[in-house]
Amino acid sequence: MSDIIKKHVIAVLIDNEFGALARVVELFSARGYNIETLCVAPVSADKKLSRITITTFGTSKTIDLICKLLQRIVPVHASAELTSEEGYIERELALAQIIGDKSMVESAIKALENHRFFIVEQEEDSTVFEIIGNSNEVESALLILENFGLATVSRTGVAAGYKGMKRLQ
Amino acid sequence: MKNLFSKSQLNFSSDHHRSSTISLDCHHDQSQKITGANIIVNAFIEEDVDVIFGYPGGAILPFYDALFTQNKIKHILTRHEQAATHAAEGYARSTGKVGVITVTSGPGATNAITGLTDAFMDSIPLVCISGQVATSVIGTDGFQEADVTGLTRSCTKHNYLVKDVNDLGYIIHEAFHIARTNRPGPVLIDIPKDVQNSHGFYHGKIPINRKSYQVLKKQVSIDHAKIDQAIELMRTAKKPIFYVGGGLINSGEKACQILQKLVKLTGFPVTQTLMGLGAFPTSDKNFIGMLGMHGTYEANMAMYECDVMINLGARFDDRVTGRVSGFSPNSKKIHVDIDQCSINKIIHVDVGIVGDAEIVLEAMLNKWQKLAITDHGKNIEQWWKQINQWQSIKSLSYENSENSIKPEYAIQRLDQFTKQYQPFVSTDVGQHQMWTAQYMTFDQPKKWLTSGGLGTMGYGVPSAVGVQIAYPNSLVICVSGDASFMMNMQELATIKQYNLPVKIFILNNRYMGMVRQWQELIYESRESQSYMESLPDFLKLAESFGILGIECDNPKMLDQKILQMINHQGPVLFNCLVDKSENVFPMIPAGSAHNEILLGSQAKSYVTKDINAV
Repeated sequence: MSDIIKKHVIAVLIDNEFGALARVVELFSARGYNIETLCVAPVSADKKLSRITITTFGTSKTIDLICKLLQRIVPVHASAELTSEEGYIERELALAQIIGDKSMVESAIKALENHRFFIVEQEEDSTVFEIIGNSNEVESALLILENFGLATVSRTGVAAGYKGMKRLQ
Repeated sequence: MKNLFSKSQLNFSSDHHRSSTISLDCHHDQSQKITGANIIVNAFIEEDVDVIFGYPGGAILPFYDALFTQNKIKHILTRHEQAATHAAEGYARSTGKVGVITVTSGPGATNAITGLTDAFMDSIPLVCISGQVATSVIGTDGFQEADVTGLTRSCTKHNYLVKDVNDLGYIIHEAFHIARTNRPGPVLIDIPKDVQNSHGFYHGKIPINRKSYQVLKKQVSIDHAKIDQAIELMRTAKKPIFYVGGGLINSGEKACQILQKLVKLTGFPVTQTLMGLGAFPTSDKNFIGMLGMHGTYEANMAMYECDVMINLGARFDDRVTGRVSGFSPNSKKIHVDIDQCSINKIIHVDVGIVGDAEIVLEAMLNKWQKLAITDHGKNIEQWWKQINQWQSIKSLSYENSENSIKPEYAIQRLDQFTKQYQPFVSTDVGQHQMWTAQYMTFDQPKKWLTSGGLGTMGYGVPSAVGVQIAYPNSLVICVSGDASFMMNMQELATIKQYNLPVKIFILNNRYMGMVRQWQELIYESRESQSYMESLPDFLKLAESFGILGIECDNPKMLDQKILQMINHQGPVLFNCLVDKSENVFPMIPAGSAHNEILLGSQAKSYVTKDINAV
């Protein structure tokens, strides 16, 4: 069973210092694992602590090992695989630029009616949509926009956390 | 005989130390700035560093200049940066202190990487300072520039690039703290030349408080419920075994003493890993030999058949477990380790106890004594009978010869004549390493130095240098092979410079013996590149370095020549010409389980099962 390759979401609390992110990322790359999404930003008021969210595809065996080895990294405060718990929440944001006239934009808006989005910028024939949701929702929205002149996409990668009162610590 | 080595003196006179000193206590006056180079020196002194191993070069020159004007720290000039790291490992392993290395940027640092990786695998505390090009030049492909923090990230416990001279003091103290605490390991500090030259404040040694890095030694709060579980398993065990690793040696002599008490009370058999040898006396009747790929038949069979395994500071390394799916299939497993990540990493265990071995063992001993178990011996009577039966196979026996020196015999004789001095023994990597592990006596911890995890040929001679520096009056023997020795033989110059009475004992079989052994076993004896076509005349080589050379190819002369080596006051290079074709047995071929262990007599009928196993 441990040979099945599936998606894993891993969260890491780490000191915000140079080299720290590289140490985390190298645990994956050294095992030939590709990081699908990577989201990192300071999360404490003094900016000394950062939170990293990584999504990757791999076997449970290797992911378990990586999660263990994460604890060995000196600046790591806490780490956990969120996908191994009962439930977790994830959100991602994408900026999607459409090149097309007003009627194209209107059609796109209509097609996206089941998705969460805003229009953040509009200039001549360029319109930028901000799309929010879990990665499936964002992906489905982007797929729809392929039909309406989708030109450039920028995604933040997944940010994720536990459901309920549980905290990463 | 006892004072044999006290006469040999370390000669530091050639090391250009001067008696004039800089003001080493200027950090007490916080208004006074000092150079980064002097901060390094002062921080070293605060950390009680008395010796460093290194090699100068452009980017570390400011530090070497500061070193020149003080007399508290001795610098040992090795002849290669890799040797400096191994020497520091030998120093650290034998003393329990942090080994310190200073190297220059670029090639200096890249040469040090093998030693850092070696220390990382074997949990040896090191601090390595590497010079770096000036901060303004970093990233421009400057002369002797390398991304050293990038290169060493995966082979250090932690590393730093210092960008502000005012951070330097704290970083050095934190580096020592991280290197020596919890599971020890190497820490590298990359210091650009301009940071060494610029002036900053040094505030002395202040307590390190890093939230993300909690020191376990001080945590007295071990999980007593787990200790109870472990003791219950041990109490009811019919076929128990202690499986002891290098973690016990890192924990300290007290942990080793408590283990001896616990073994005495329980009567359990003990096996040790290659790194663990000496944690428990190998001449004790409860010791049933090293385990693993070249461990004894009885140790491996006992691991396979046991019902309760107590792993103390070992990490289920693949040399020990063999094929994981066939590893000790019917046992309950207890694992004590300071590194939480090591528990359930390779082998699932029933009771995992995170903590320092000394504290955990003390709790176990107390618990066992409280239970006042009296008739326990009966529980394991049958088990010992079984073990004695396995022992009667005599898996370490070999066919001796009158015409050629068998390498096993050479080590046995070496042990015979030296064990009264309780020598430090280092090795290189290969057949000679295994024979030394199998046939030498190790009754004390910290006396055995070998490259276990990384298997670094070239480790032996420089690590012996590090030990002899720490213990100038003790007998230090490096057992090497002809191939391994040549990987760091330039260190004969270091040995000569400091007049270190190291005894290098080469088991010379004109082969890369272990490579040849695998080729014989697995590749139908196709000896691809494993024969040393051209070897130096080791006697002349020794002579050229100003060292006594001894050669022996006659078993009848061996005792006499070994005595000559021991009785010589200075360094010796002993070229022991041994049987070329001898192989190390027993052997658990890679990819096999403990019960598939091969004895020497079975080797010819061996059929490879897993050609991908290493």
